[in-house]
Amino acid sequence: MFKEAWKKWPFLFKFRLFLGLILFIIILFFLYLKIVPFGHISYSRNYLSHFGSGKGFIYGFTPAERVDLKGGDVPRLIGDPVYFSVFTPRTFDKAKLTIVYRDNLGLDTSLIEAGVLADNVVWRYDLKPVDNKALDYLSLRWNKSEENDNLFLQKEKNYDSLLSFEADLAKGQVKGCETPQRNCLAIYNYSPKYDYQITNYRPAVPLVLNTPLRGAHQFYVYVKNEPLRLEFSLVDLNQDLKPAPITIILSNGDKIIETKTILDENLQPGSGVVEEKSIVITRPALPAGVYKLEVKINNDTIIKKIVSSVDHLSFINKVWPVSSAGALTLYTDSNYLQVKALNPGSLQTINFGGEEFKLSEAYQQFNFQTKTNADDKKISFQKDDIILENNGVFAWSPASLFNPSLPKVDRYFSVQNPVKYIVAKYQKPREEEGFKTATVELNLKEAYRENGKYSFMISIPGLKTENGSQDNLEIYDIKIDLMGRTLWQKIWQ
Amino acid sequence: MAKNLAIIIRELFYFFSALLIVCVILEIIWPNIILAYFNLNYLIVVCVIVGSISLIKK
Repeated sequence: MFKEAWKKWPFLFKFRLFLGLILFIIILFFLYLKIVPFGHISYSRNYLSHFGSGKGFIYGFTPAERVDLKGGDVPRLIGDPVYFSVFTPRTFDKAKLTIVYRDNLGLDTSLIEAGVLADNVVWRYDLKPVDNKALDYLSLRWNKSEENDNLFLQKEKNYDSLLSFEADLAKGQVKGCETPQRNCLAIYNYSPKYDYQITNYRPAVPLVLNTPLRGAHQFYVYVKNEPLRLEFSLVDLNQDLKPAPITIILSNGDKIIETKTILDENLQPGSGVVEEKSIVITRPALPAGVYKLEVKINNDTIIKKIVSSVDHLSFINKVWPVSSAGALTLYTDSNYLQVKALNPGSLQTINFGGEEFKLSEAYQQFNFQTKTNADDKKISFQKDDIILENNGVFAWSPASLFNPSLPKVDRYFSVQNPVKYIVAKYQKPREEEGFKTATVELNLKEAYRENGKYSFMISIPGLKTENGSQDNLEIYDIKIDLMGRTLWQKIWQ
Repeated sequence: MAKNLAIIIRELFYFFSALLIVCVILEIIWPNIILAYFNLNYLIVVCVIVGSISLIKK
């Protein structure tokens, strides 16, 4: 019947039917690519290939001054960090990022990490390991075992498995170590289960921190069967146009105990009219242990004052004191210090661990290293509004300083470190003819997505454009496998 | 034959014009749905070429 009708139809009608069908198929094809009904799609970008008619999904690297596009056929990363965004037609739950690169990096840039923007307020990226040369080096020299994606390295073979080591660590009785948490175990991208306790703990006394701190900060407090009260006085400067919400999170390990948020209606954006806000966190007697406080604010908000019922209070990795109008003394447990002045008026000489270091240029990060072996290193400076960062903690007095974190096999880790065990969730990149291929898995459920784009970062700590070095990382190919819910799961679940 | 060819070219012009309009509408509704894969400028060029040939044949 259809055959007869087909014969009767004029040529023009048949031709239009044919073209209409093609149009319909094209629309369906693009809708399929938009919806991704099976929940899985891959996007890639080969930097050697210049063919491609569309804009693509993986955008170029930024900022421009940290990428050399003219020195070779492929982009060379010459600064840290470097960002790129990925457009996706819909949301996904997981991403598998595969990078093909050639490593022209020196010994002082032993770490490469990649991650996705998880929090746009504090600009936090969820970073995962790409390449860790210290681990690669020690893997060849120490006793190595791998279990469930975890790499377990022992200087002397005392354990047959990571499980038996973890059992001893939880009991605080690691073979060959007097204090398991210090100078015994180093970790990387791995969280062991162990309870940090301060020996010779004396009852807490109240602490008042009057030094204003700009932007997001995190700190540990140590509580031993006593109530915890923390009063935060904050100031929204209203110098920029964005809203400035405030979130304070109290957690213990992976467990969030309390979250307090003040939303910002942003009634006076850019006016410069300051708004004072306060948050109080009160908990009845808390079991002995370390608690973490995360103050999530943007750089337009200042923590003016913190009143704490406990005095064991150490800031994690970063402090940014501002406007205290005077000399300041801090203490840190790390031998390293990264300092950046965002104001030419803050340029000065800093005393760190009894040595003098010159902060001579604004907007440039300076790395200082002290040779002192003291547990707490004193940092003294005359002018504030400088960002101090390291891989340790900061406190306003030696009595407040404590660091429950285990040493990390990061940029600052030395293979001469006296640790006896290393546990890392890490897989060495594959290497073929000088090209390395590394894959990292990222959680996109918590990732921040704006205008259909996820923001990714490649971090090579210590890689600098300013110091005239020839170190670089050549990127040949980036592939992203995205996984999410299928259309049927979206409809029915 | 020449008449049929003129019809085919004219129909192809209609087809490419319709395709362009549909692509632009899809792009307005869901930005980047087409442009990520394909540069619509190429389609405009094809449309103009086919349209010009169609005018000449007429």
